[in-house]
Amino acid sequence: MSETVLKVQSLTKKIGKATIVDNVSFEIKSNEIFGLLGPNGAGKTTIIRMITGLINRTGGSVMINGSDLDKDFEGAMNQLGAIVENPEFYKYMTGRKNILHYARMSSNEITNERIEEVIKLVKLDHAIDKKVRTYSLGMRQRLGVAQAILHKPSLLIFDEPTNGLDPQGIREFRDYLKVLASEGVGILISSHLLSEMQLMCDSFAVIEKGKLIHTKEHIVDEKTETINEVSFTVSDGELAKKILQEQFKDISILKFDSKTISVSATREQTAHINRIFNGNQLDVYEIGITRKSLEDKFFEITEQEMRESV
Amino acid sequence: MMSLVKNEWMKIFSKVSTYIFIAFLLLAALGTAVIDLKLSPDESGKDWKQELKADIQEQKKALEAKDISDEEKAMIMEEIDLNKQLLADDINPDLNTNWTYMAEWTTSLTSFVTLFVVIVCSSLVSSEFSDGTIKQLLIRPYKRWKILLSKYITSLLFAALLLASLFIFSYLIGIIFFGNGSYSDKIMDPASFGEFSPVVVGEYFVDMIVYWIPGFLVITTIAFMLSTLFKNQALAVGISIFILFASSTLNMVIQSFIGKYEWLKFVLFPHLDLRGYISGTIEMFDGATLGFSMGVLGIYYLIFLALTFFFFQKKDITN
Repeated sequence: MSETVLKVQSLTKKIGKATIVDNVSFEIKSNEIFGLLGPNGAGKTTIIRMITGLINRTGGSVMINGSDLDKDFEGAMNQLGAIVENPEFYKYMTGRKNILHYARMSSNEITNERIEEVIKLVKLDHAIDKKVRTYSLGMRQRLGVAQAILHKPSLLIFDEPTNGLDPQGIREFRDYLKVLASEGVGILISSHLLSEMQLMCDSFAVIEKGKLIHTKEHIVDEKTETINEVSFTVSDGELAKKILQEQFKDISILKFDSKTISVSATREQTAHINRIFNGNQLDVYEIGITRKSLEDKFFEITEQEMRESV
Repeated sequence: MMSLVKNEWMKIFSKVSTYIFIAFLLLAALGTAVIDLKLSPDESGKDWKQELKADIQEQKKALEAKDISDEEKAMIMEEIDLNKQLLADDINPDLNTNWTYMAEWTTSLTSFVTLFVVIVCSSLVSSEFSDGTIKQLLIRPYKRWKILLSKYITSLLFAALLLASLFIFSYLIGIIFFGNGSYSDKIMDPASFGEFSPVVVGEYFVDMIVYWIPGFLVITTIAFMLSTLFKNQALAVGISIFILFASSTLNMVIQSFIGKYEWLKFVLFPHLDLRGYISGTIEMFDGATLGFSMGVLGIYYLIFLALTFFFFQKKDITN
């Protein structure tokens, strides 16, 4: 059973007359990887800094695993692990001393075994006794993950986590997240890199100009009636078009030629079309589905917002 | 709180500069001992009482000379009186032991302790900002004031460590260079010229340190405050050290105006160095007492600390 590990309600930040974050509410459950999307300067970082208590809120409340940030700051913080922006460490100390530093700051006692376990998990055992000054960005990122998960928090927050990471580093990071989420942690990630977020997140919210303009429970949901672009490669394109026009009046044909025909169809409709084609002695060699990418959706959403606001 | 202090202590001792500071104190103690040894005449094998008696005889002879003015006469008479009193009270004016060395030199070397503690304590806060680690530090299950307090406590502990090192180095180097003297040997008060005012050397040393500490604490706290307010170590160190060294100059300016403007009594600078109160010979201004100066220092100290903690508690961490 998944629980709510982060509950943000009407979060607002005003600086002078400017409203940086405007009445933002959302929830994250355990096992969930939640993406906070938006262009640079939309207010993602401000939201994250308010959740982590680094900056004051003008209004709204934050609950981390049931603890209110205002009433029980220490309780809430003990349930939180985070990397805020770049993973910064005391460069003049070794990786191990840095980890020890954060281990001492936990409310629950962290054993040496746990420290060793985490160091192994992020594959830093060969470099842990070197000064952090000598670490690559990827290694610092892994050390960042280590300090974030050390005290087994129920909520993890990563702000722009893949900034500056190479493709392998990004992939490693993604794999950690999947493992952590499967162990019951709720994870909040902010990024402006949409293609990456698509690969990482289960659900997402779009922030623009400080407002939450869209939330979606799941990016890819097989059961919903998502309309995809479906292309059939068939023996006779003309015949296919004729059958479609006769039998499926509500389906729009996007393009066709002598061998292929593309339509907008749901999952169920795709199967139905295939059956009808087969029944009419039309051979189907291939069915291709072009799912809309998060990027497409993002622009669809933001453009729609812009049209509405004009 | 213990674990927070441990963390700060670990940060201080992971930096090379910390060891350089301690080594510098050792070298400074060594250097001043060498200078002291070169400056003082070699008295070994001589009896200081015989020397003094000889001095008195010579001075008496000088008095009988024909071509001497009344002023010169008076001066020589004073010297004779002084030397007689030294003999009577059994005070060796050329005494050179580890204690006289400490009373004379170690009490000045404390300025280096101020400098190093100011550098270290202002970096404890400002480097968290400049390294970006403040974001990771403040998202822990500790209220902000506790984190700041742990840094302040650590600064004080570090100050205690530097002072203790300085004393131990000076004491041991003093023994090696000048031999082990007695704490209760009497010397002439270095602050009084010509007058006969004997002090116990060990007590004098302890007084010089104890009266120095309040001003030192205030300077350190100013550095701590500035590094928190401006998040800039260079600025914090610069201003604090400027205050430390400019305060005697500013003090003179203030004293010349203090008759005109009563409120100048409450300015920080005349009160920073309380060592003037030890012999009681120097009066900073009418009605200046140790209690008054301590009170003024105490109020500044509390205001600086309150400002620092209030500011740190409220601050938005945006860098």
